[in-house]
Amino acid sequence: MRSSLTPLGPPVSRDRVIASFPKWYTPEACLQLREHFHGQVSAACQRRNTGTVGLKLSKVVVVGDLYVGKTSLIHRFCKNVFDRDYKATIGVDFEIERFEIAGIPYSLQIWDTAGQEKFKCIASAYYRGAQVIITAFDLTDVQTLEHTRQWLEDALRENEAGSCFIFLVGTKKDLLSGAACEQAEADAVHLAREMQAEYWSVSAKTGENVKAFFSRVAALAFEQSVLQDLERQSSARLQVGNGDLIQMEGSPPETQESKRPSSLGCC
Amino acid sequence: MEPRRAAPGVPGWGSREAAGSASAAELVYHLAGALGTELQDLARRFGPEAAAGLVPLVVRALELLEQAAVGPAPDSLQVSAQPAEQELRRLREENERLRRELRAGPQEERALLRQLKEVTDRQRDELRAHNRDLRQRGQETEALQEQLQRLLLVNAELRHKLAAMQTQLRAAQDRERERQQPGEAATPQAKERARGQAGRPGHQHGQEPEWATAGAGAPGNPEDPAEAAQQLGRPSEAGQCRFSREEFEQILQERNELKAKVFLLKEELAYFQRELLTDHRVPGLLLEAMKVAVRKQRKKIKAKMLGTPEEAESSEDEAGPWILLSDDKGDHPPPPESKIQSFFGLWYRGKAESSEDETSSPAPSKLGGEEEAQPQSPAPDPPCSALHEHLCLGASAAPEA
Repeated sequence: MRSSLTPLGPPVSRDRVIASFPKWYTPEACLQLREHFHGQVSAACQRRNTGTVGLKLSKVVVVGDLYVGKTSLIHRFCKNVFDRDYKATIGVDFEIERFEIAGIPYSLQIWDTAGQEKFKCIASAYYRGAQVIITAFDLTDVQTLEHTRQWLEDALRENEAGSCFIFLVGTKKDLLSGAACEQAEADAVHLAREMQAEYWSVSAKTGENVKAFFSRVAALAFEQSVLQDLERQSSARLQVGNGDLIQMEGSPPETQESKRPSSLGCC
Repeated sequence: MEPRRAAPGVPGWGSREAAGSASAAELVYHLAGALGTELQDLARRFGPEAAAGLVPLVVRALELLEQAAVGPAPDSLQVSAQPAEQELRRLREENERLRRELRAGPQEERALLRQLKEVTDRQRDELRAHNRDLRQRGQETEALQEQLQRLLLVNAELRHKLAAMQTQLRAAQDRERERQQPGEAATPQAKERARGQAGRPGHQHGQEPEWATAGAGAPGNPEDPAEAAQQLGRPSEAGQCRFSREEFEQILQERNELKAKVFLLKEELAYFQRELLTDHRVPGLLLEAMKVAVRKQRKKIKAKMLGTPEEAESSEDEAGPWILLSDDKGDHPPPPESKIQSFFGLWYRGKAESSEDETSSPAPSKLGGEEEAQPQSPAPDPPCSALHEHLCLGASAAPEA
């Protein structure tokens, strides 16, 4: 029966199907150089043994100064539209984008946060539990690049150290060309390496690199969560032996495990 | 022996005679001598009549042979040399003519080459001119493009500034409106004006009425003059949060919940649509069970999406596998493993297997919730009770303020 398993889910549009591992933007600042899925992951995907979660979902948080184009970037990807007029985001917003990665349905929940200072206190409440942090800046405005350090620090404060993938994204690539673009990218790559982030240049207006970027984000997040699931599966199997003991004490294994995350996520 | 003897006696035929013809003639004379001796011998033995008829024939034959061996006479050779000399002269003349012609050929070619070179030179000059022209035009284009870039930048900058100005303006308008609020009850005109302002500028104002009413309904609202004065005393703060932040967070949370709900409903709808499209008959009982399964699962996913703790009861569904197993590749799936049944595998697996299965493998189904680092079981001290689920974020954000 195992071999004939197919996860039930509505079909995903063709350009959200990721069969091979998407490539980095620049090897100078990227999170990993592998061009294939992790062996364990692709094996698990073939066996359809990627954990029992039907709706695999990862949280992505997009932060950065106001008017760098966070909302535009997300809207270009999720709705394939571009609105010239600036419309400040109030507090937070999110979009859910469905993928099919290595045959497994997978979703990214992309949180769009307000860049305005006055909303920072509200938006920062949504940083918690992010698997991916995207720090966006305006390629034509060097100050916004400098501010990404602070944005990242704020976002990391709400998350466990080392638990997030970090991306540094330069927006409005269409406004720059030639030497100016190269200079801006070089500066950004430098900072990205410092942040241990993967660097991307995109343009929401032209759509350049937008799909490739989010595919990369999705694939990395997917791979990581499958690996984590597999790890948990194997550790769960190890726990079976003393499962009775714990139940006799009146505390099912779930409670013990769930205590850990609750203390982590404590505000 | 006799031919050799005769050979030295043969006179030479002149310088033109070939050695071959001399020896052939000798042979003929030798033969003639031999035949004459033989014939004389015959005539002596059998009488002159015996060879009389033969002699003229032999003589004739020998004469023919002699003619053939000796070749033409010397005077006839002289005659044939004349036309040969003429031919030679003619050939020499022709040779001379051809040489002249050959010498004349390269000159024509050289003239042609010279012409060709002129044409090439002219064309090269033209090409150079074109190149210069093109380069110039390229530079002009580049300059124009640079200008365009600069203009684009200026445009972007202006848009940026405009946006910032609009934001400032909006904030100023908000402050203004707030300042007017205390007097609202007294002067309905002012209220009208405030409304007019609220309706005018951009996007943010879709939510404004809610904010305004929330502010009005809150205890210690701006109708109190003292409170209003206090707010005016802290204009920046008033500009940032005119209404209580909790109210705002509540609204945000509600919106997020609704969005999550819409997403999940769309997913669910897609499942059902697919069931219908693949033409599976769905019995009512199964449909009901499916709805229950989906509803239970939905809570978990929604909690994950919103980052809120799950309700207590949801932990009981943990053992239910949400992975929807099916083998619907074929048109006619075998009844016991139909897609519908596998959709809520919990139900069927519960029948088929004992409950120990559920206790032995509780971990996998929890995975989703754990990623969010959210408690999802009836923990003794949930940070927020289920009742205040949607307020949780506001509460959690409060300490940071």
